[in-house]
Amino acid sequence: MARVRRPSNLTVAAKTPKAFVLIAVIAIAAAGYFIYQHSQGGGDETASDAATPSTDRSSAHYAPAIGPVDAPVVLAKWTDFQ
Amino acid sequence: MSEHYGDQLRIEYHHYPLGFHKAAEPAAIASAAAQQQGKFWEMAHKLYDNYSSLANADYVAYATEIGLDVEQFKKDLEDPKVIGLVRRDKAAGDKIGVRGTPSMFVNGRRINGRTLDDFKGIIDAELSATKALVNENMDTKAAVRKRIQDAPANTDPKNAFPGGKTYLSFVIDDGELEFSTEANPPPPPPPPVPETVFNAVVNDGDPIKGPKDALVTIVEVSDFQ
Repeated sequence: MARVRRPSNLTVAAKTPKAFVLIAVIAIAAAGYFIYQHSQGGGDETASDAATPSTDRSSAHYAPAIGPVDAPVVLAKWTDFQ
Repeated sequence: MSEHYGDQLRIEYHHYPLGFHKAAEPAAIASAAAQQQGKFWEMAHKLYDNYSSLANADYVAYATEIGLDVEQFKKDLEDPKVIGLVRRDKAAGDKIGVRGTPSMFVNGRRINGRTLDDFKGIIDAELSATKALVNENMDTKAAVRKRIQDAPANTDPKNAFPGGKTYLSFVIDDGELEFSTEANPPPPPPPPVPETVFNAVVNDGDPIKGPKDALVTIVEVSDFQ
């Protein structure tokens, strides 16, 4: 049977390492999840923010406060130190 | 109050340094500078405990005592951004009818409670109203926003309030406000001289100092308390 010799100037393309493929798949999945979250409003926290646009220029945004931002009652006090 | 209501209540501190309280604004700016390092409440306690010692050197001493980075604190005292926090609050207060301190609002509604029971009654009523909206599948923040928006205006001069929409605009959202961020802004222009001429009757026998035919007469109506 005739045998064909491989030319000496040809090399076999390196195989893609499995670890690299795994990392790529995870990265693509994470990016997809991130994009999905943003398209949905970013979960509970962002959904609440959308309902109450307390902006980073508002007094409420900067006011020192005690209690959670989503408390059902907000007592706001205007006062001074003298 | 916050212990009693726990997660059901948020208490916000807003600056309203009164003009005739000379140290009120510098003290407010000192607290805002401490806030930049996460120690607003520590500085606030110092300021309240030492209300008769409110000078620049005192603020630096308090900053040292509560463990602030003092050099950064000094820079922040003159930072337009920090000064702006105080003056924005004051300007927002002006828009919603604040004229004196303390002035309090529960979900955007101006309140005049005097006792702890007064406040509890008002907060309990507001809790019920907000929870009723939440039970209709409204998000809690959206429910609070609606309560604020629906707050009625009040034309009583002692308790004037322009209404919840104004509160939303200038306190919650970013309604345009005018205020200076300069460390030492020029003094405001003097108020215009009123043009109304009153005929103040001075009778014979009223206590008077000065000649009857003086070119200028000042009439004072007063009491002893």
